[in-house]
Amino acid sequence: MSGDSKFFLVVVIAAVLAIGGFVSFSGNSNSEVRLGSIDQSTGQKFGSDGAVVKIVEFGDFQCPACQAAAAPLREAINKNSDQVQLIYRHFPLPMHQHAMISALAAEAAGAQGKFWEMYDLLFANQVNWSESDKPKEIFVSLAKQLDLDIGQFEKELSSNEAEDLINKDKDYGLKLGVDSTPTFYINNKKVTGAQKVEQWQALIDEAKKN
Amino acid sequence: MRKRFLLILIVAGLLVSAYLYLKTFDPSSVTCSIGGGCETVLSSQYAKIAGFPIAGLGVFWYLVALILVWLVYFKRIWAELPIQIWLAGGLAFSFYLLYLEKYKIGAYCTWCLVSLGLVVLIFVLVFVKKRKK
Repeated sequence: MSGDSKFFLVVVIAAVLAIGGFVSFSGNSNSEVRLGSIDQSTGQKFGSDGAVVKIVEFGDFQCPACQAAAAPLREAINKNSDQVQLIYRHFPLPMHQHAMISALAAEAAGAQGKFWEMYDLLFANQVNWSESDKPKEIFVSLAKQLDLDIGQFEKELSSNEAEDLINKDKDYGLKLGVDSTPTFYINNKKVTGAQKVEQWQALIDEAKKN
Repeated sequence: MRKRFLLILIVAGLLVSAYLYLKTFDPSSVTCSIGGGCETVLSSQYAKIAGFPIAGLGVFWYLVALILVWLVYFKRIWAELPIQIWLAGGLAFSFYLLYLEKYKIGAYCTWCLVSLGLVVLIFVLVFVKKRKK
């Protein structure tokens, strides 16, 4: 075998070993961090206040991963009604140009008691408004679908108070070490990323035991 | 020396794309991270074509490039044209991915950029020598 052929072989073997090593050591890397306690009093709530399991979500309506996470989570919560409460807190990411205005749209709907209806609509229409130059117009049309008072909705959409509240949510998240969305705290256990219904069920069951 | 460099660059690209391919299937990486990042790019709708991860295409592309380098530069059985065509296609596709990251996803993935850098270097190594001839 020539020197070149040997070199070729050595490099290829090293590559195969490196990939094999990575595969065997990567395993399940879902981050789970235990913290003192998470503030569960603030935020938009879905489900019973008396629930034993409280899930705090830090989310961004323009994040595709949050959209992917939303439906399975709601399904899991509905299956465990009265036992699980979802508490949503805003975490608008800097690279999503409509993250703040979409959070404001959700809060504006929330002011009229329809936060979760708007939450669903924002995710269902994410592709449309994410790439739009005029997301506000789309949010108003969504508000119309929900029979909201449009005058009040538009006023809330540019409310400084709501923006402060959203920024406070984000500051709290940063303090906890949140650096991606969606980040969930199931009671005090941290989980990042979209989960399947079965994964949620396992997390909920585990939280019930503790 | 040139062919050894080529080989090392291609193998590095193979490792990077294999890593990205595995990351595409890591459930905890389906997130949007502060400042973008690979998680954001890999969990976007653009990370897959008809359900197949683009990183997987990267693995395939580097594997074929590896075979071509073997045949063209080590065994000297083939002429340079096939590898040149393959590289030009890879380079164009890598820039298309950069376009997606900038204008469609709004986030950059460092490892995707590393792969682009490697493709550019491989391209230069193959084409620059040809001009010297």
